[in-house]
Amino acid sequence: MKRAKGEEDGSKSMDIISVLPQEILERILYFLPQEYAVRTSVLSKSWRHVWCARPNLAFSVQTFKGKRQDFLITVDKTIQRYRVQRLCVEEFDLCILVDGSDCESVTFLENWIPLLKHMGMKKFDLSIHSRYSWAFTDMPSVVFGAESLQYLHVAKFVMDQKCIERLVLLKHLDQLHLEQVYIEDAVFQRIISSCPSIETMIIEGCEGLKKINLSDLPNLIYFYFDVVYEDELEEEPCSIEIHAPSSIETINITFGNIWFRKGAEFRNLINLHLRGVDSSLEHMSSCKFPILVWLSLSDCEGLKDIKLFIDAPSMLLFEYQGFFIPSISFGKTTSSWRSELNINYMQINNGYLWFLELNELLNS
Amino acid sequence: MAAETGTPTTLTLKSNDDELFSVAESAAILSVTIRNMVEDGCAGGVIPLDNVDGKTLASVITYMNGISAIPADEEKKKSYRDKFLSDKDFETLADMVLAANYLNMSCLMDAVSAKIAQVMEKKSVGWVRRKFGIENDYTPEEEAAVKEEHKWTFEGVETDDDN
Repeated sequence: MKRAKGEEDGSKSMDIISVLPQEILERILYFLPQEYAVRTSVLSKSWRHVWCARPNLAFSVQTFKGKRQDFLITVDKTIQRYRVQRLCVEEFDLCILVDGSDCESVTFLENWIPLLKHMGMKKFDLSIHSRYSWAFTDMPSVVFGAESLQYLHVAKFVMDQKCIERLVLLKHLDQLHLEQVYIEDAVFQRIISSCPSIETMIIEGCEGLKKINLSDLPNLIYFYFDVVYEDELEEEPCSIEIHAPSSIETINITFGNIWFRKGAEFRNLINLHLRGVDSSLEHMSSCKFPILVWLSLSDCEGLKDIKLFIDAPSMLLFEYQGFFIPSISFGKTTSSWRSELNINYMQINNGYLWFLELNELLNS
Repeated sequence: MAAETGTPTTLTLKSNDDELFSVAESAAILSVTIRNMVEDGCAGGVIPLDNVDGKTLASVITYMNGISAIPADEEKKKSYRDKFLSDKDFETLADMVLAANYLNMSCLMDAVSAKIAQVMEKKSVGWVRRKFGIENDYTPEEEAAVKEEHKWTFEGVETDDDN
């Protein structure tokens, strides 16, 4: 069949999309955000119900411009309709806000999660935020009972023992992002020991952590850690142990103390960025970084009084920033690497020695 | 199958307008429809593909060859798909998605579907109707009622621009 060419100038052209089979239209809508998928129902009568059976649902409270009630009712109505019509929801993507004062959102979540489990949910991406700072709102425990969780972003909650009362094995969870939550070591370790598939872990501005150990995560690829910097940290920075899982590609730590194991080989590490690390980086000298490309060290007290040797033959960029001149030497490197040194000296007690040290570093 | 002889097996595919195409079996079995035929031993002679015209089949075969030459590297495959689809007009895309569906090639089907979705995203209803030549057969009252039912979907970004 020869079709009329679609014309851009607004003149009447043949409709070649509406005549596509339902399964193809559903597939197209699968790739649209929820609101654009739903509003295709306004296009024409034949489009009225096309979106209604798509296997993925995605709702964000942000789309509702703060009308939280409308949001909850819309999500609930949609899930109930799928249930009544016995349709599958294979993927569910939800961004929900929990107010400290009400438990309505939590009540809805308590309903939705078991319902969706029975509706075939295989992939559950959840972003759950509380409105106020972490000191006020308890993380609802229903979340960790959702075994199809694949992505989880928790912001501004207190995560204590109560929130893991219903913790199950989350074998699909590959991204965990904790932002401004209060969480202690024991709860954190329990959670990650139930999430063996984590590839991306982001711990941002959290409080309560003193010592974390990421050895249980054999698939970890990306690790980011920071805390909100206060001039006088009341507590010791969190101590972080990463026993060189062979999968890890990026480590980015700000104000945390990473401990390198002697002689560890970071086989897939490409980016290593350390800022404000006070723990001694001595053992880094015996570690191997065969494909490390970008090494960045800023304000690391841990470089003081040690002679650091870096074995990173593939390195292309080395950055250093700090108040003192570190003693760093490098093994064999590529010919095209460059380094950026940014030394903020406050006071030079011994100018000659200073230049001597700088000279040594530059020569290396 | 050619496992014993060591030479790659070639299949002959026939479009619905009687064009014949040779394609390596290893590339052609990206189509589950063709793979099933091969496995059932029905691929000896010419494989007729009654729902695909010659122009579309030529394009699909280019894709089959291109993507099967890339080793298991999802990112490279994705960038090949993006490039492959970048110069296709909507009419071609519609033919491709029909062919991909018929041939049961989920990777091509998803890539084309995503590409069409990308065109519709963040656009006003009026723009989408014009772009795809969709005739609005609602009465104004009916249209208003459907809009009211999904009021929340009309609060986000939308544009009438072509870009």
